[in-house]
Amino acid sequence: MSDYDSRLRLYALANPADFAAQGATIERLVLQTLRLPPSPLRRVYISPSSGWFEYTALDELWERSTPPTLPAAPAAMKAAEELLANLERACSDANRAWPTSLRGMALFPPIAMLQRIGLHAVPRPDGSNWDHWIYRAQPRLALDGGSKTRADVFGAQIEVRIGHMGQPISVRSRWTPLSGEQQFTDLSAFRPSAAEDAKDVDSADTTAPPIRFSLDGDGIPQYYLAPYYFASDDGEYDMTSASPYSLTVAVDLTRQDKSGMTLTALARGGSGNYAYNWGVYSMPLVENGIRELGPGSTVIISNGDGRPVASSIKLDSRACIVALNVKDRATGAFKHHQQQIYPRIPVEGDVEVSSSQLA
Amino acid sequence: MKCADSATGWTFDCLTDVSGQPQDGGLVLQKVRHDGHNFAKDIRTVGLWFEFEKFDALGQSQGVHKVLCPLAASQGFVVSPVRLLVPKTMAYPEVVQKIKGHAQTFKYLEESNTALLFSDYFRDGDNAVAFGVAAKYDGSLVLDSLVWELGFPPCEYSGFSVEQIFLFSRYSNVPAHEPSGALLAARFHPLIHYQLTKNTAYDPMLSRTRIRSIRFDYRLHLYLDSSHEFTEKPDAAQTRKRRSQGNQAGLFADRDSLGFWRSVTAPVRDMSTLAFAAVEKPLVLEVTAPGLFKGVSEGGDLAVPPPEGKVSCWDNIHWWGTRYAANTYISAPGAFHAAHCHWRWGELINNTGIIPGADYDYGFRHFLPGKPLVDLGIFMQTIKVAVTRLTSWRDPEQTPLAKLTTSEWADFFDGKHSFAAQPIDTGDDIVLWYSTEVASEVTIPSLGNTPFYAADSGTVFLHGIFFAHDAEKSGGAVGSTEAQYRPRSADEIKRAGKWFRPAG
Repeated sequence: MSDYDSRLRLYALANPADFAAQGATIERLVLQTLRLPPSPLRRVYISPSSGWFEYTALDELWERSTPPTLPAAPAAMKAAEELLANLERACSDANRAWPTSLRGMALFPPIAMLQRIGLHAVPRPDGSNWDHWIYRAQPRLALDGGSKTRADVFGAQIEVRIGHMGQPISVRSRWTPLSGEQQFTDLSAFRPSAAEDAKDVDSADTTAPPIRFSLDGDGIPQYYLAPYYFASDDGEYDMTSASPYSLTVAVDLTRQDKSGMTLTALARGGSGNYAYNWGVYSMPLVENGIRELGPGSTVIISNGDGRPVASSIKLDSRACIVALNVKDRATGAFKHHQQQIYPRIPVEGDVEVSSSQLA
Repeated sequence: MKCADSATGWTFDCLTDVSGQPQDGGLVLQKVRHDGHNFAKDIRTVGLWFEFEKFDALGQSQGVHKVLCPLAASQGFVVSPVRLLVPKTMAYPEVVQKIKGHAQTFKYLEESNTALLFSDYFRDGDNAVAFGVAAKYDGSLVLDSLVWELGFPPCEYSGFSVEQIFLFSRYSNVPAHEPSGALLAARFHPLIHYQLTKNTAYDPMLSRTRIRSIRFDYRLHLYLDSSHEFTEKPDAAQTRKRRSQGNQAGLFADRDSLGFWRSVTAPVRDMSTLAFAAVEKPLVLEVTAPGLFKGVSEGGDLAVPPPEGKVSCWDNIHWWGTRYAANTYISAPGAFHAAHCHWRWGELINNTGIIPGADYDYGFRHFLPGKPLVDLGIFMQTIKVAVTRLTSWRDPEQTPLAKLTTSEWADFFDGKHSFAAQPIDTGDDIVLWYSTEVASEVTIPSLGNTPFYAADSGTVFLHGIFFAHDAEKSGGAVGSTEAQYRPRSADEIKRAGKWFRPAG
């Protein structure tokens, strides 16, 4: 086995706007695959913010006037999986009609690597009948250079709904297309988060948890898929870095007094030499957009990572959502982070410093 | 008005009159779905109440009175047409756009700092976050009218303006919905922002009227899809009866401390026991339940006598489609296909990371636990929730809006003319009633003897509801899918038959 085989892959994401710009062509290819003529009742949409794909038969999904006749489960499963294979061929280099500007990139995740999650029948809200089958699958990618291990892409999911007489009535692909560029990186040792650290050391499970890639969501700036450990944390997943490119970011309300609240952001997983840029918005004033605040004040923290760079910023004590773009100056690793902030009830003469590291 | 936004994946009908104004009472949304997954059948506000207190010139209270103030032109509001909020696209920096497919991503990130700039992704002044509808209600003399009709003296405020902003976000993991930061969901924020305007004719030396509280009552007829896994044909007789089982809900109170015994036994306890101080999953009977009491979670934190002074509040409610397999429910914690409504997280969340002097490499409480998730200026909110079966007398399609709310919120459910709490544990067509009442002031002895006063403006329901519709996950990393009852067992709840069931 070569060194290359044991290294981890990073997958660069395509610019979703490139796919959205070819929306009309892709719609034609998708409808051809479905053997349907263009119609206002057939919606094909590619999100310019994420590249996520939607096909919906608007007059079928929940709206069919007569009760659908659904196929048996095995037939529905087959219909869903065959459709995905056909869509993959139609929307990739395998199709000669695939736009030149998208050559080398595919709209859907590698279908052969999908992990089937299940098939379920979904009833209509009034209970009058079953409306359709929903088929779900989990996208996966090769984790290591040797392609011996596959890893789930957390946040990605494929859904196909099969309706009347086995017809596909909806496809949803929560998947941002890959650009084709890959980079290799080293596996970082598993280091549990503070909450895990604080549990009984003798009984703590030191086994490294599963590794998954993470797709952060629709409309969230993200340049590449990086691997993370997904540890169990009181019944939920706790993401920690699995490579120097797999940054995590957390924000803490570290001080609050009459003049406002101080928020401190700390990245983890990279070199420690981080650059930050803050933004803020509030839900009631969402139409005002995200206001850029700047890099904040540099804070050096002493912890298990050495002396990583954190950043602090002072804001009025109001509920808000802070946004952060973080870059590792040493590697270029990037992470966009947002976090809801609710200031605490103010107490006269009292301040709160929750991170003892901020000496 | 059909509202569909492919950019966020949300679709719904917004009921309006011919001029595009919302119906009397406020925004009404129906058939609310995200990515084709049902979320709600009907969402609306059903009541807005003022509690006034009359004082004489010596400052002696002369009585209190509650008045319903529907959001309607007949109440004196100038009502705007419904406004659509459409989010702009998130775009990548121009320099990256010119590179086909971002084909030199890693080189670009290493060499350039433009990735840090916000203005490339989200243009200044553009909503890049949420789809939604909004309506304004300008009530410059609404309070004057209400007080005058009561025969009360002038109020400290004369005007009351409201904006309803019902927002729907994209599906993402950012901002984090759960403390773990690893649960994708789309968010729904049914916000009501209000502004009181001072009465220039008000004289505190004369007899006068004060606002004691403002209460906002919502009716949220949530409906999430059931999904049934079976291999036979779906119209087989044994499955036909399953398809109308409706929804279930659960109430949860997070732990605020682990305690010594639970700490040492943590490795052998199940996650639900560690995470929740109290739980009723699924709800056994229809219920009314406290969520916050004037901004705190424990009635004992306020200087009030029992019964309120002894009440412990719930922190969240979850809602899901009844599952096919008998006696299995959504995982908790987890709930990967569920509506999550959290107005507070327990102190235990991430709390272990801040032990003074400890050298943790990641000692940040990245979810700010133990605080009510409310607008700080009006934090003194009393949140109450009820879950009921759908009945004709609780259905706005069949009952006038004014009869869907009562001056004492709980009387609508548990009053002398009401019925006993009905069983809902096996699934039903159920409705969530959410109420938040902003008190004008509160004193919290542990924080000092100086009262906190509510601001003249604020926004309620900031925390919103997040809607996850992923496949349920399995394995050791998720919580229990079994029924959970603590501190009262299901049998005790059934026997007692009480509507009002606090966490403790």
